[in-house]
Amino acid sequence: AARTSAFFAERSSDLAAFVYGKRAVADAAGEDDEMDDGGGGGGGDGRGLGDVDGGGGEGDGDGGSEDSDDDFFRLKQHSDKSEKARTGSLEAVDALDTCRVLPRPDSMAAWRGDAGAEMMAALRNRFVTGDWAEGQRR
Amino acid sequence: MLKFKGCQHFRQRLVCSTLSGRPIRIDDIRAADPESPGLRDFEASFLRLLEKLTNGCVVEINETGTSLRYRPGVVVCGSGLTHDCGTSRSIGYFLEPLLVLGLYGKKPLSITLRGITNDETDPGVDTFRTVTLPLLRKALGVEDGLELRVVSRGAAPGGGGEVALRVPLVKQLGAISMEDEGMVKRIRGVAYSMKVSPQVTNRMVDGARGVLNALLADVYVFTDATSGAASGKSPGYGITLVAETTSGCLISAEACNCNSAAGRRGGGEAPADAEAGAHPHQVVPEDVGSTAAHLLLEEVRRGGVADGSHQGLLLLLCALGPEEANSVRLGPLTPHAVRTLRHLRDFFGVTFSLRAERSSGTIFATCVGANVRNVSRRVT
Repeated sequence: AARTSAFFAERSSDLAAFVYGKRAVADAAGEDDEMDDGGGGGGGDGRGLGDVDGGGGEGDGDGGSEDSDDDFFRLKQHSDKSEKARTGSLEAVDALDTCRVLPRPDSMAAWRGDAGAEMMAALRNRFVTGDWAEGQRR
Repeated sequence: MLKFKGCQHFRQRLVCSTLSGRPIRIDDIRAADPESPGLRDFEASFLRLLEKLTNGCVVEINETGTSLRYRPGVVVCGSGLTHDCGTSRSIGYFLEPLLVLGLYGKKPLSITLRGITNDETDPGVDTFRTVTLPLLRKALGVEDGLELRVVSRGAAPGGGGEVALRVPLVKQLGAISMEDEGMVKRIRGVAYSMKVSPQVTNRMVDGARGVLNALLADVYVFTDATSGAASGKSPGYGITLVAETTSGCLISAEACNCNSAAGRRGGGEAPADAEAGAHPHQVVPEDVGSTAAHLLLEEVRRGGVADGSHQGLLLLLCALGPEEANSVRLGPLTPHAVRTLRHLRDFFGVTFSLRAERSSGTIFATCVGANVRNVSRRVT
């Protein structure tokens, strides 16, 4: 279950909070809090949708005036977040940029042997060779 | 100015920035990587490709390459373009954003891409040809002008493959409504090989059929054993499987045995266990075939109208669509799709309503599109 929640957002009740609880934009303020609050699912509930709309409007309004050259070319001093960046979790800022679903070893192993036969049987009604009435119920 | 951190979702950030016209700034790109911080060569290559396709975009990168400022220009596209994708990432890395950008150009896009056609990190060109392009046709209703031709294949590390892509213009996208996933009626696929015995493709087909025939008899996998000039510079082989459903949805999975050195994909980004799991030390072609078949069954089990690797694209198309209800049914969201949803909210202000159906484990995602129109297209 831990693997599933780490890799796929499967929960239903707090799905919207899970997806939208964190923002893609790194705000100048509050961005460090975001990094440190555990990276879990519902952790970011406080940053609701209203907050988001406010942030978006602000970005529209002032174009690029807050962005100055001296802080663009400033030296990077601390590099203590390497552990976090390498975890490959949902919140890793340097996660691999690919849309392909990389196979997990345990998900592949589940399809072999007796357990695999059970999973195949469970899939039978998703194929036209199975029970159509069962398949249409989805 | 939207600010981001890190190199995740690099391509989609730039694409969304270009389509929404909002400048972005990305900080801390691999800043935590002590050996090689900053942008990698494939990301620089993608920026160069973006400069070829657009007019007036401004890219500023700091000395270490850890910060990037991008001010989008006008998408022009045009024909007769070429781009060398290098050998760090495969052509699939570049194709995915091109498919979306090309729709919004001033002229129809026609481009030749050179590099690696199939690898383990990005979707292979066969997936694009057999799944992604039909998905675009179905979702957008475009019929003509969308074409991907594989001129020659190329495996890692040498590359040497070549594909020709054509993307037509759209005025605006149509509404997307894909909620019926249907039942799997047939399975097709492509087994390809480069510079190895042609028999390898048949062995992969055997491996896949051995798994899939227990559920379905209608399994046919085309074989494409290339040699000579059409096979690039390195040996490799792999298979792409596509399940077609009664409602016309395409669900794909792929596996390959293309010798990718550990350093090639750019160190430390991929979860190490995923790599080890996909490639035990002794791999025979039958294993590659059965792995692809198992991956396909896994995708079918998860449900939805698109497989995991197409969730992000489908969500992006919904968000770009007209101001009416766009709805899709997806399986459990992949990390890529979750990040896509967050970016779509930040760039276009599009928030999806997500309704999970517990009995099937699928998610109904509905949104009102941002109605992004093609502003650079010539009015005739």
